[in-house]
Amino acid sequence: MKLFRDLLRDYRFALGFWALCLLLFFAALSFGSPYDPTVWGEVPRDQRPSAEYWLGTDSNGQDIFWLATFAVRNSLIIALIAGVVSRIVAVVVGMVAGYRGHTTDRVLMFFGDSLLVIPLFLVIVMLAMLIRSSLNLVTLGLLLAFFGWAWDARLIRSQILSLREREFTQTSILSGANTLGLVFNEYMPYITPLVFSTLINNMAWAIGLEITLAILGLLDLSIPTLGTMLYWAINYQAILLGRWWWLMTPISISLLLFVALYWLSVSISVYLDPRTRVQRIGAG
Amino acid sequence: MDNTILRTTALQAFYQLDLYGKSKVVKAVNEVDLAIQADEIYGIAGESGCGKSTLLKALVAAVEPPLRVVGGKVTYRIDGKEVDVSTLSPEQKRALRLSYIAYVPQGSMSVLNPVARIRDTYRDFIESHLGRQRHQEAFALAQDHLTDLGLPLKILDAYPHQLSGGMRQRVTIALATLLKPRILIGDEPTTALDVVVQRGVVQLLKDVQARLKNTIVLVTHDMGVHANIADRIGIMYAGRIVEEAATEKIFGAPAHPYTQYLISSLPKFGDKTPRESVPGSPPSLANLPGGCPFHPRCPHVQTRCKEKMPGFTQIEKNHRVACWLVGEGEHGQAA
Amino acid sequence: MDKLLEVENLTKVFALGSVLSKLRITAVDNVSFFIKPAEIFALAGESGCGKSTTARIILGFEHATAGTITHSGKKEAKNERVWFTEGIQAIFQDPFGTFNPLRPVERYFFETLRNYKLASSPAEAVRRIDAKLHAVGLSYEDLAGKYPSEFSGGQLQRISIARALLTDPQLIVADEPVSMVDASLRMSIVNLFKTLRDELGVSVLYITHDLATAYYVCDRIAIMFRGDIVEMGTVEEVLMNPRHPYTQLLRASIPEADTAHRWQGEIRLADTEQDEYLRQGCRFAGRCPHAMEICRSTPPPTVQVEGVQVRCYLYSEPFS
Repeated sequence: MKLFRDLLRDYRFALGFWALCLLLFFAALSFGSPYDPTVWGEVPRDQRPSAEYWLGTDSNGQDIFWLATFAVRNSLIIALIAGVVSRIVAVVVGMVAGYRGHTTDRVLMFFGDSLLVIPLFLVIVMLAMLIRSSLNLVTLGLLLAFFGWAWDARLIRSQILSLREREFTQTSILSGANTLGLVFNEYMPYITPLVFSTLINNMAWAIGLEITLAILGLLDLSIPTLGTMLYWAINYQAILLGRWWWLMTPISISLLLFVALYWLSVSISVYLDPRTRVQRIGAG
Repeated sequence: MDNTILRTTALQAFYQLDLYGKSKVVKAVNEVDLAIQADEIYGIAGESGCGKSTLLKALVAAVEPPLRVVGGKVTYRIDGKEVDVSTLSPEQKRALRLSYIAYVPQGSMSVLNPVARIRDTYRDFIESHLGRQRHQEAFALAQDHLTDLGLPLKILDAYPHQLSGGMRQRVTIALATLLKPRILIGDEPTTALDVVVQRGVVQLLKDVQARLKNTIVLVTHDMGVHANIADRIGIMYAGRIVEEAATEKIFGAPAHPYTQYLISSLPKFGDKTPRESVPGSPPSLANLPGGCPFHPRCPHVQTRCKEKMPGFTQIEKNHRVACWLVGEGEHGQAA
Repeated sequence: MDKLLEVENLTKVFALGSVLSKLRITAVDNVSFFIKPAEIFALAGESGCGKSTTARIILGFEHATAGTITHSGKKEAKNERVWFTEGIQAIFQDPFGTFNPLRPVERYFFETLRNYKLASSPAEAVRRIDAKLHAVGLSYEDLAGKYPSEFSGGQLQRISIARALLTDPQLIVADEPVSMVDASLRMSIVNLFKTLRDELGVSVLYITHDLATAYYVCDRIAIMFRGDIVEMGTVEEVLMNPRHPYTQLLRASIPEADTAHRWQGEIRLADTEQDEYLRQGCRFAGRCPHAMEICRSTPPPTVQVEGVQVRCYLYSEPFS
C-alpha cells in the first residue's frame, strides 16, 4: 500500500519494522518448538552455545533458544493486551471527558489523576503479590491496562478540547451531526496518531514493568517470559558463574524490542501528525 | 537622480521541497527588479500566494532552506556603496538588522515576549545590538523613542496581553525603529487590525517616516492602505512585479489588466454600481502557466501572452508595465 | 411587518478572573434589532464590540444571559437547535478552518443531506449538491475527492455558502465572511449574497468590520460599540451621513482605495480595551470629541433621528 511505502522511506520505520518482524518471526517459531517450556530437565544443564543447543542451555535444563521464542511470544502477548485495552479505555474516557466537559470531565479526570498520582509501582507489586497464583498472561495484561490508560486519556482529552474550539466543529454541528458522529468522524483522524504512538509506548512500558515484576519474583515463574528468564538467570547466579548466554539472550532481545518499538512509535507519529499530513495532501 | 537604497536585480527565490520522494519547486519570487529609493514609502500590493512575503524574506536576507536564492541578487547601499547581501557574513547581517534594516511582521505577538514586560523586551533588543548598556541608558533610550512617537510611557510596565491589539502593533513598530534603521519593512502590519486601529498604526508609520526620513517598504493586499500611505506601488502577481508607478497613477490610470481589475473591484462609498472581482484564482506558484502568468484570467489575452513573458515597458518616467498589450518591452532595468 | 428574526434586549455577561477577583464584562448589552425576509442586515463594529457573540447566541452556540430571540413570531426555546428547526445556517470567517483539513470537503455535503433527510439516494444527493454548487459558480466535479488545502480561500468560502444553502435556509449568519479573503476576491463572495437575496429570498446577517463591503451589499446596518448598538438604520443613511461620533470616526478611518479621499487629521486610539467596557456612562466617552459630563456618568438614551436610531446625548432632547 502507498501508506506503507511512504512509511518505509523513513529509515527509522524501516529498521524498527524489520526488527519487529524478526522478533515476530522468532516468536512464531515457538509453535514449532521441540521442547515444552514448562518442563525442566529436558536437556543437559548449563551447556554453552553449540551446534546442538544454539543459545546454550540454562540451569533448569531448558534449551535457551526455544525458551526465548516462548518468552518473546508471551511478553508480546502481555504487551498487546495491556496496550490495546488501555487504548480503548483511554480513547473513550478522553473523548467523553473532552467533549462533554463540566461535571463528567471532572469526575473522569479525578479517577484518572488518582491513578496517576498513586505510586504505581508499589500498588502493582502489592496486587501482584496478592493474586500471584492467578496472574497469568491475560490477567497481567489487564492489570497493566488498568494502570496504563490515565496519562493518555488526558492527552486525548486535551486534543479534543482544542478541536472543540475549531470552526469545523461548528460546521459539523450545522450539518446536523450529533455528538457521537461529530467526535468519531471529525476528531478521529486527529486522535489516531496519538493512539498509535501511545500504543507502542504503552507496550514498551508494559514489557518493562513485566520484566521488573518478574525479576522480583512476583509472576508465575513457570510461564516463560523475558522477565522470568532474567529472574531465573539472576537466581542461579548466572553473572557470577559467567553463563553469559543465559543472561544476554533475554537482555539483547529486550533491547532490540524496545528500540524497535521506539523507532516505530516515533516514525509513525511523525507520519500521522496532522501538520505533515496536510502537507502531503498537495504532493500526492 | 539615483537615490536607491535597496535594489534587487533579476531576483529569483524558490522553495525546493521534497515530500516523501516527490519534489516540488515553488517559484515564489521570479525575476523581480526593484529599486527602492531613500526617503520614500514603497508599497507592494498583491493577493495572498503571490510571493510577497518571500520577497520580503529575501530583502531582509533571511533566506533559509527550503527557500533558496537561485538567481539575481539583493543589494543594500551602505555608506554610499552598494553591497551584495549574499557576500555578507552572518555576523554582519545580524549587525545590520535593526540598525540598518528592520522587519515588522504581521502578528505583533510573534515579536513581543508574552511573559516579559515591554521594557524587558526593549532592553533585550537594545543590549543585543548596542552591547550591554547600563540599565538606565537603555531605559532612557526606550522612553525617548516612545515619547517621540507619541506613545504613553506607562506601556513599558505592561505585559503584552494587557495592551490592545493596536497598541501592541504600535509597540512593535516602535521597537523596530528604536535604533533608527534606514529601511523599515512591514509585512501586512495592519491586516489583522480593526479599521480605526489600522488608521492609528498607519498614522504612526507615516510619522516615523517623516521623523527619521527613512524608507518604508509596506506589503499589504489592502489597496486602501496603499492609497493613504504609499508614494509608489509595485503590483505583484505570481512572483513577478507586473506594474509599478506612483500611487496616483496606479489608482487613476492603471495600465496592466490585472491592476485594472484590482482597482475596479474595490467597493467605493457612495457608489452602489455592481462590481466584479478578478475572475478565476491566482495560479499555484508550483505550477505556473507558460508565458505571462496572468493570461488564463486576462480578458485581453493574445497568443503571444501564452508563450512568452513580456518585459517592462516604460510608459512614463516612473511608470512601467509588463504587458504585451502595452508595449514590446525588453527586460527593463528597475530605475 | 414580517420579521424573520427578532432579537429583544439580548444581554450576555462574561465573568472573567479567578475565584478571588471576578470581573464581569458585558459583551452584549441590551441589544435589540430585527431582520426582514430577503434582506441583508449588517452588524458592524470593531473587534470586541460583541457582534460575533451576538451571532453565536443567535445560532445557539452560546446562551444569552437575558433577552429573547423570536423566529417569525415563534419564541426560541432554551437549547433549541435552530439550524434544524428554524432553517438557519452559517458561514464563518476562516475558510480554511471551516472544513476539517483531514477530510474531503464533499463529506460535509453528504452528511448534511443525510442528517436533514433531504436525499433518498446517492444519485439524488449528487444532483442536489451539484445544483447548490452551481448557484455559487462551481460544480460537483470541482469538488469530488478534494481536500480543503487544494482550494483557494475564495473558493472555500463559496463552497461553504453552497453547503449552507443545502438545507434551503431562510437566514444565513455570515460571520466576517470576507475578512480573510483577498481584497480583490471579496466582490465575488459579496455579489453572491446579493444573488441569494434577490433570487432565492434568503436573508443574510452580515457580521463585519469592513464597512466598504457592508455599504455595497447591505440594506440595513447596525453599528455596535463595546456591546451597545450605537446607530442603526438604512445603509445609505448610516454610512453616508453618520450621526453618532463613533460611526463618524469609523467612517472617516476607512482607508479608501481612492487617492482623492485620503485620511485627514489624526486620531487617538484606546490604550486598553478593558477600560472602555467598564465605563459607567457612554462607553465611547473616553474618545469622543463631543463628550459632555453627563456622557461619562449616565448611559445615553436611544433616540430616532430621521429614521435612524442613535444612542447619543447629542441627539436627545435637551441637547439637539
